[in-house]
Amino acid sequence: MTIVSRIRCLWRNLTRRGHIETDLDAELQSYVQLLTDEKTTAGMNARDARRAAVLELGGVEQVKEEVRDVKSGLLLDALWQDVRFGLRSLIKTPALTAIAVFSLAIGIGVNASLFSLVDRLVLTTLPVREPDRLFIIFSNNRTGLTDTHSYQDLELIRSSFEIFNGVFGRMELPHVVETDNVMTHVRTEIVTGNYFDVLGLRPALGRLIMPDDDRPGTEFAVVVSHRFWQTALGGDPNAVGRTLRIGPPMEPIVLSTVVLRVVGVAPPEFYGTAIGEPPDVFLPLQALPAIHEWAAEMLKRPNSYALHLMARLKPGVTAQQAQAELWNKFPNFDMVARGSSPGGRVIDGHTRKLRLRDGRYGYSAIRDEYTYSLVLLMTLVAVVLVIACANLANLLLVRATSRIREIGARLALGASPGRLVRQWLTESLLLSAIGGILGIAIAFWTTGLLLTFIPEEDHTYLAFHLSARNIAFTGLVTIVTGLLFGVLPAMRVARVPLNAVFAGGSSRVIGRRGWLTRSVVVLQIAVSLFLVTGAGLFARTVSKLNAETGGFDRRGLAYADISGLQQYSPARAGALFTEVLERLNDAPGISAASAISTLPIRNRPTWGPAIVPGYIPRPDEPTTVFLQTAAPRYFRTMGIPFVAGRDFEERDRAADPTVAIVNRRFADRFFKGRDPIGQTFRIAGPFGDLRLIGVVEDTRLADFREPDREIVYYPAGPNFRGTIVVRSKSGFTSASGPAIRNAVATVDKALQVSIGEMEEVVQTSLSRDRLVAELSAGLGVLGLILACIGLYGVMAYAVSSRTPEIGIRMATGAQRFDILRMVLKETIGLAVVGIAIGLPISLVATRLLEAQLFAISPADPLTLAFSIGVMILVALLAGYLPARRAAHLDPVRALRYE
Amino acid sequence: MSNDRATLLQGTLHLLILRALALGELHGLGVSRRIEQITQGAFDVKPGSLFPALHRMEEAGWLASSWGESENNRRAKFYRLTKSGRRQYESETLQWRRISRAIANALDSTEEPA
Repeated sequence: MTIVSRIRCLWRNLTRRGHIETDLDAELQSYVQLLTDEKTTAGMNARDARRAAVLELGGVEQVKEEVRDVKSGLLLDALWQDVRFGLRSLIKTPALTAIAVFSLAIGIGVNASLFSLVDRLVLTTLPVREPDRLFIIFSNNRTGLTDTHSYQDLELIRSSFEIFNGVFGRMELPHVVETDNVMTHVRTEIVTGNYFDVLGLRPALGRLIMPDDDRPGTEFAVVVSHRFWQTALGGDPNAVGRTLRIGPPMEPIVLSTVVLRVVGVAPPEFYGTAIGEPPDVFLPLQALPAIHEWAAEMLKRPNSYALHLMARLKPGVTAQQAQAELWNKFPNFDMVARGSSPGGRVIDGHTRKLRLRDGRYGYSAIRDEYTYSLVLLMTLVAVVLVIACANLANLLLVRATSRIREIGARLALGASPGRLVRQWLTESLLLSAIGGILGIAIAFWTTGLLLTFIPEEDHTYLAFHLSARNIAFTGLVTIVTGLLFGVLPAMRVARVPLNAVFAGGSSRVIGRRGWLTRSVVVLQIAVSLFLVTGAGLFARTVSKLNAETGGFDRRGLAYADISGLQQYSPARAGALFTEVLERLNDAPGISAASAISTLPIRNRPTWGPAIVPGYIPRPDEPTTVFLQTAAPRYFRTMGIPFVAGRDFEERDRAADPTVAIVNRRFADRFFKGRDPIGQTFRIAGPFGDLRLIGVVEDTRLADFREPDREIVYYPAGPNFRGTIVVRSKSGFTSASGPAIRNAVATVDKALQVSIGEMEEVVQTSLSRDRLVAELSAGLGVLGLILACIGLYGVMAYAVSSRTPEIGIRMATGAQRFDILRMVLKETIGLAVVGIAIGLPISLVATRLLEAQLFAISPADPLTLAFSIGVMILVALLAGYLPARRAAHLDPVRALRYE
Repeated sequence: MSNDRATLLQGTLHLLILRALALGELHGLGVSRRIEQITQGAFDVKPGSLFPALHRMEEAGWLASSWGESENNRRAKFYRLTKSGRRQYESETLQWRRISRAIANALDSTEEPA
């Protein structure tokens, strides 16, 4: 039989089944009739003939079944039957189905959501040509590792190495862009001419920026992103050739005279090289000086680190070879890059080396920060899903007993145990399929929720998409889940002994007092204990972090950044800045205002080695300290108390600092036993001796989790500009806003200022911890609910199967309360076993979480006691209803149903 | 019917049905009676084997069916050989004769192997 004819038969059998059935029926009836005729002709009477004919046929249904068995499409047909039957029986038990679908949807959905995040952040390479040949160039400078370099650096690297096929630089700036009289705020990616070449992209429309476009002029070629083309340009097929105007994103909007001509549209899957920062417009680097006056300076200065560099290795060059080449050629990149330019100074003790880092996944700040947390969360969610499966397995086992008669009847009618198993599995897979589909909807929602915790980034790239990978993962989880909780009851169902079924002993199905279901529940409780403990630990971590002051008083503290000062000479800018501070301090409602070089918590400060006469460090002892520059009244504004000495005053302002204030830690370490005030020391670098004039309390500068470090504060010089901090008299940050704007506007109308609250800065730095804490709390609650349901199910079943026993007890004198207590005791008993198993698991597993915790031990007894208490409560809750039902049993009826 | 008898019959049943229908179209009961006749009573084909075989052969394209009237003016479903059915009949007949001749030789031979 050919494939074609087989498919034709299959199709016919499936779609015209009704017709085929009636036809077969008619055929068999006609057979009987003809046979009857035969016999009557041979002499039998009509009735006997008919009966004999029917007997000879051997049972219409049997023959029909035999015919059906040989027809094509048998398997599909049977499966379809199973699905319909499964759906019907699921609908018949709506509560159970609802619970099952609910737990599955959440378990699968959250799993899918976390996977999609991890996939996008960690597993998805840039959509460029051969991403594994792309590398990020970074180097170490005085503050640590940095991936920004100057234009000079780029030129030097480009011209010095043979190993690269191309090196490009990029930077991001916000702008406003005008098209058709509509202003849009855009992210602009400023790129060197070879950007698209090195990446290896093809345009969706028109062409991409080429090296020739990167030259000074008045008109520049730009490329727009696919999304920008769709939204701001309306997907115009004739977008190529349109002109845009551009300007800095400041009120009032002043557009530059530069004309930008759209030459092409970037491909749709390209979101730039930095995750979460999708650019809208790509601009050649040489366009920048035409738009911003300060840009020309920036491109010339060797120490303005603005560009991110990426390079593509030539084929045949390995990463190790390239790295070695970078080191060998420039053992100290700083000396080469800055050695001969005026104003370049070599800093002792630092060799700036170039390094390569894998670039195939692009840049992502959140990836580095969040990957560990996300993977951790994924594991936790997987655990919850396992609990949900165990729960469902239990519920389905219990359900099997209520359908025991149906199963028995089917077996008696000739169904093979294999068929029953298949049908049961189909039901489980159906449940999990419905749960999976709902789970996808939940994944959309959950991902959105997760992203609100991750600050700042553009979320379109990270939002949940119906990508092939996501769907495949969801499908996989769905099927595995379905099989996981379906197999167990299915195997049980197949081994049902027929005689036991009809003898009424339904308890025989679960067998041996349900040890399997009980151990599953006990395991559920153990795992839930771990989840609740974890959640408790994370919650306490957040509250402890929140309670940290960091050494300063952030209540009512506002900060402000002034932009636009770059256009002035350094001296003028410094004078203007000082004037702003003076006006602020005179403003009513402001109790103090000052400025600092880097705002604590938000930015990491610079550092340098301290050289203190009289202090000999051990050979391997680091002497690096944090360095800050502070205007007068800084410490009062921040609420940092003085330990000794005085604050900076106007007389300390000098081109090079001659005095300094240190924190307590510095004083204790370097001047132990001596009075620090009046002592002299220096920081390795450009400045000379510093006289110590004051000691302040310690402050956290980078992160609340980090321990205190030694800090040295320089006084502000005449050209100093930094971040302004303001404390209002009322204690509310909102009062400071208008005053700051007023002060800035009065000094110079052309300046822009952005204002924020210190509280927000702190909360942002805690956002990752908050994310983990809140999510794990949610998971803990979910795990508890599931454990509660599981426990309830087991106890409900236990009560119903032991109805006769309860009846006997009541008949022989037990009171309602005694029965209640008996059931509750058993429930608690299960819980206690679960806790006993869960406790060591918790202790071991929470050890893994130690890195995420703050100021709390993984074995914190308070948290553990809390979790245990919660579990016991949950157990009581779960056992209450069955216990009550048991206690209110009518003994007469209970005994009758044996 | 025991299992080995059933499998034996299934292979030969096709051939017998083809033979029965080679001479003209018949309804189900008719096929059964014809087979009984041409095998001189050796095979009594029960409906439980007959109908599955008829339907399977129809799906394979060897038979075609249509509703018609029997001798007694009863409605019945008649089967006839299709062209490919006739080809199948010829090839199966050839094969069967070859096999039965070979087995007959094997059972009759009294010679020692050389």
